[in-house]
Amino acid sequence: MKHREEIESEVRTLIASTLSLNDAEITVESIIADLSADSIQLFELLIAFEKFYGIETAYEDIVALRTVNDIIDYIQSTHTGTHK
Amino acid sequence: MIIMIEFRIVSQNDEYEQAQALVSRVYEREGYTGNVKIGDSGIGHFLRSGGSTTLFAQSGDQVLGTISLVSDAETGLPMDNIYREELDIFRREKKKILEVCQFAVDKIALKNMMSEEIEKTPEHEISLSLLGYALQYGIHKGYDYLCFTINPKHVPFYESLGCIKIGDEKLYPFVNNAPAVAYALPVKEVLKQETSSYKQNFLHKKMMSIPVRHDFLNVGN
Repeated sequence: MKHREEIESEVRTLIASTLSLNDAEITVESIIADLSADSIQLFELLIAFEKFYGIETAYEDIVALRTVNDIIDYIQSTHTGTHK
Repeated sequence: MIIMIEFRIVSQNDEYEQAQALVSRVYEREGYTGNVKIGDSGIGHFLRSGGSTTLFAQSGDQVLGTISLVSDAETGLPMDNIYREELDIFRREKKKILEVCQFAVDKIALKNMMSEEIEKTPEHEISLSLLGYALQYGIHKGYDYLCFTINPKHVPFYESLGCIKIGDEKLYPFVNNAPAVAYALPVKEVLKQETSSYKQNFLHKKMMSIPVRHDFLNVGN
C-alpha cells in the first residue's frame, strides 16, 4: 500500500502534466474545477488517474470529488498500491 | 439553491446568436479565437440550415451550454473546410456522417449563478448531457459516424469515448486558425460495446444513461 505522501506527489504530478500547470500551483486544498479550464480537461484528468492506477471510476463518485485531497482519498480507498 | 438545467432545441434567430455568442465567449477564454465571433467566421450558415440542430442547456434565461449537429448535405459539413478529403472517404463508402460542433459550456456563467453553499457543479452534467444527446441523435437517425474537429489537447478525452483519428492536425479557419485534428466516433461500434461484455468507462456509462429525448430525435433529417 502506498503512503499518502507518495500518492499526493503522483496526483500533483499527474494534474500538472494533464492540465499543463506548474506543480507548485497545486496544493491539496486546490479545487479541481478551478484548476481545469473546462469539464473535458477534468474528465481527461480522471481518465489519466484510471490509467495510472489501474482503477475503474464511477461517475457518481467522480462528481463528489472537489479538491485534490478528495482525489487522494478516493485513490487510497480504491487503489491497492500498485499501478500498471 | 438548486440550479435546474433545461435542455432544448434552438429555433429562433436570436437563439442561434446566443449560441454563437456563448461559443465565441468560451473559445476566446480558452485562447482559440481571439476576438473573432464564431458567427462571422463562416460557420453560421451551416447552423441555420435545415439539416442542422442546435441544443441549448439553460437555467432560466441564462444559456449555459450548447452543441450543434450538422447533417451531411449537398453543401457539405463545416469541417469540409479542411477535412474534405478525409470525409469523402466516408462518403465514397456510403457512410452516413454527422458533424458535432460548436460544443461549449460556459463555466464562468455557471459559477456566477451558483451560491457559495453549493459544492457540486453540474458543469460535468451539462457537458456529458449535451454529448449524450448528440450520441442519441446519431444512434436514432442511423448515422455511421459522429465527426468532430477537436483541439489537440482534448484528444485523450475523445479517444476515451471511442473516437478514432481520421485527419491530421491542421489550422482551422472557422476557429481563427486554432489547431484542430479530426476524429470520428463509430456509432455502431459504440452500440456493440453496449451489448457485449466490453467494459465502458464512466463517460460511456453516463452518456448512455441520459434519458432519451424524443423531441430532439424528431427534428432534422
